[in-house]
Amino acid sequence: MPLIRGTALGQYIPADSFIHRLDPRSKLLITVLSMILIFLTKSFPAMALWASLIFILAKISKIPAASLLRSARPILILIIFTSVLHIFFTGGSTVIFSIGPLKASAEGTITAFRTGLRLYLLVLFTALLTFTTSPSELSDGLEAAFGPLSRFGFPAHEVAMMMTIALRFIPTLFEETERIINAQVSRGADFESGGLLKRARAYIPVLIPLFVLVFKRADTLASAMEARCYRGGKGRVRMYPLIWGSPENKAVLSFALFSAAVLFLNRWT
Amino acid sequence: MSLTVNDLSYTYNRGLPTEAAALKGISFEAEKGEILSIVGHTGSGKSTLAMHLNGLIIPQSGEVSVDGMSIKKNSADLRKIRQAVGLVFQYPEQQIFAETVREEISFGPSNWGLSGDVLEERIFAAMDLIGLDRSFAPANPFMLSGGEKRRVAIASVLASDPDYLVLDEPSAGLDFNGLCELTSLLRAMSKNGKCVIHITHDLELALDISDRILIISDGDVTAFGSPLEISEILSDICVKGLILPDILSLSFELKKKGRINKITSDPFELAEEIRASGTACR
Repeated sequence: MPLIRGTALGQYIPADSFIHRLDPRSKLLITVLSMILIFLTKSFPAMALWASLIFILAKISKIPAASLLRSARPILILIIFTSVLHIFFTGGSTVIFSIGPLKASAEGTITAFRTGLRLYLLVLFTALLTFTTSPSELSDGLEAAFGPLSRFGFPAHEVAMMMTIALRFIPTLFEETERIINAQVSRGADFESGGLLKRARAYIPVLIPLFVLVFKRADTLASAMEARCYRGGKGRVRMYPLIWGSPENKAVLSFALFSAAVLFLNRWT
Repeated sequence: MSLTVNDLSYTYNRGLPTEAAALKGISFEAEKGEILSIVGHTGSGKSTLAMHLNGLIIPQSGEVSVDGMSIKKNSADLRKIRQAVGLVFQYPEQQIFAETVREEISFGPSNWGLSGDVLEERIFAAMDLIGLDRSFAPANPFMLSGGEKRRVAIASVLASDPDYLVLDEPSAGLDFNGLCELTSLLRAMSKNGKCVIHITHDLELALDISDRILIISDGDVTAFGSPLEISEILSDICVKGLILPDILSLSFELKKKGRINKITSDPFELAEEIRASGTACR
């Protein structure tokens, strides 16, 4: 029986820590900057610095390193796949070994390691953001970040609200899927035997009731929101206003210093 | 030939900080031909227990066995057990997926390998049993009313002709007529030699229809016995989250004041008790 368990990528782990308490805007800013910086990172010492930063941040946010690593596991396959492609297709003069027409070069292997590590660091860093920021804070932060665009007609509040609702219903949908699967298994549904096509077809009795439930839920939610006079972002105030204070300044400044260190170490390629 | 549960325990998220014991050593036996009600408050472990009875959850410790077949991981008997134990979930209408009522009801039996005339017979037998007119067969189940949908969903479990029928809160959201039809269905099933295991939080309903009642609280068996025995036990102990029927509370009070001799949850019996002892007490 397929059950959905464990810490998933993008899951929020509530805790009381300096990182958890930070204004989501500061965390978003740092994450976006770190994405750019990680892609600029070429040297291995700089990458080691990134790795240590990630684990120090995990320690501060009271996130067990094991759950952090576990959350990135699904992406690992993708990373390994791209790395393998890099080994063979980078091209270079020093050939280490070859399989048929495919030649693995020394340059390719180094590039493969570099891109693989980079992607892995990127996933870990962004996982830290979702681990320490609740979905509602995250969408508040995004709304604030996209706020200036609303002047050009971009529906910042609505997009953020859609995100919040989507994130809020992921666990609910998992639960409902599990319940429907259990009901169909009780009626003799078999998801494990047969070929790929047969197994895919076996999921029809799960997907249809799930869609029906999703539409019903959407309908109920819309009525509930309207009953409480929801009418979009215009003139709406916040229950928890975002506050940018000295902790945020400290966080951004520390990250700026760290960036300088990364750029400095980046010269040893 | 019976369904036995022996010292069954189950803990959710075992080994994690969020671990929670749902069942703590439950034992009971359900016989064919009886209605056994399992009564407990929300979060008492009722639904977890229900999912053990047809092997949706494999016991962590203890044993569940159906007609002598024990539920074990990767057991070849697991499909046989699921065929013998029909499980009707809470709000079963949410499992409906097919385009016609006929197709929906045939899902179970055709998964168990039935086809042709036997399948046809099973479908109509189930519809008759639940009181669903045969003219509904070609209808779209999504277009039916709530009560009709629930009947289609229950029929889809009955069509597999299970020897044991487990129903998780089947009365939730039913009106009075629906409730009467449900109870007469359960009685008819048990008269036909089936074992009905009825899971509910409604003690009044359980006292009314059951042959035996198992009361669980926080994953533990609090009491097990006939409705009369349960009534007597409940006059001494208070069970968390369990609402006593008014008639039962009234008869407890009357007994305490010496007005009647026998506790009962049946209004007519209580009236008779009061009448019989009326002169003696005065």
